[in-house]
Amino acid sequence: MKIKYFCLALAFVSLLSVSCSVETESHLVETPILKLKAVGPMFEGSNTATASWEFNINSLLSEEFSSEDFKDARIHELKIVTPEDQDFPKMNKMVMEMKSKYTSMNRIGLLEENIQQNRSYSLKVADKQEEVLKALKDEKITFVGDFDLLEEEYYEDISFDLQVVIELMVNKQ
Amino acid sequence: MKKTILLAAVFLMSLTGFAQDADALVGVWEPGHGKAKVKIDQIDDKFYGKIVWLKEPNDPDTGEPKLDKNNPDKSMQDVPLRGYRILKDFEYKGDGVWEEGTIYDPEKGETYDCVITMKDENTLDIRGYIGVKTFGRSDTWRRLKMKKK
Repeated sequence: MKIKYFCLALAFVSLLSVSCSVETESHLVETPILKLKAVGPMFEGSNTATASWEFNINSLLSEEFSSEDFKDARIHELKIVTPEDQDFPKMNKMVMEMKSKYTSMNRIGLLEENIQQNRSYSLKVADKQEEVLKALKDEKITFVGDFDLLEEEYYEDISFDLQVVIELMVNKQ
Repeated sequence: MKKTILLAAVFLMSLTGFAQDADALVGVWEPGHGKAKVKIDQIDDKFYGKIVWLKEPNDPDTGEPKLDKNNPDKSMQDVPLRGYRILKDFEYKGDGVWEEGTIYDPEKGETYDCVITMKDENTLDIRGYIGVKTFGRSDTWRRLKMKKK
């Protein structure tokens, strides 16, 4: 008798979990091309470039989705393009982090090579990512790129093009 | 009307003073052990500090620049320590205190909650802790370049 009740309860719980689970699907969202800007003068060693992205979270996907459907988010791809400037200084390695008003600054990517003028680079994306969805919900994200300047000094500003691809997990419609 | 303008002016002046006090943290600081120098900057409305100088910049085992080899995220263990942002997300709370931030210990690969208190314009008390401030550890940091008086 006890076994019968146990089996019934088990079947009920299984049915409940299946009926309550919501399937999700993945969507890729590209930011516009952002200007990741470092303000001169800069000196040998680590220097910082920043870019801000402001957006309406409900406009990231088509009208059928709202932010309430978003279940998770991850950085999928990070691309930078260096300017054509002939005076582009020698630099290497870039660490990319992101923050928003209510999230901590979290590391999201790393580029491990010399950075040259007029080139496109894809950064290695961090395996461990935190608070990406929370940052999206703040509707303004600041991307922070730290690069190593190999020259003693450089007096101009530097602007990289930055584009970020974000993978959004959303409830299936 | 005059009273309103006066009140608004006083309010604006107090805001300006608050921002100037907050900016007092910006600069290059040397931790007590003297093995590094940390530059603190403001990004948006918060304060961040990164290592800009290391007494021993190269790993004695490899001869290459030191990396964040103790980072719990293996994909980020190749990040160089010079340039590493070890202080993050500090907000100015008034009275020379910055809170809500964290400090990263690259030797252990661990991040702690942290509160910064300015003792005088050239001295900081940096207290790292887990959960409760009482059970933390403090260090004194000194400003690298003294402010002109």
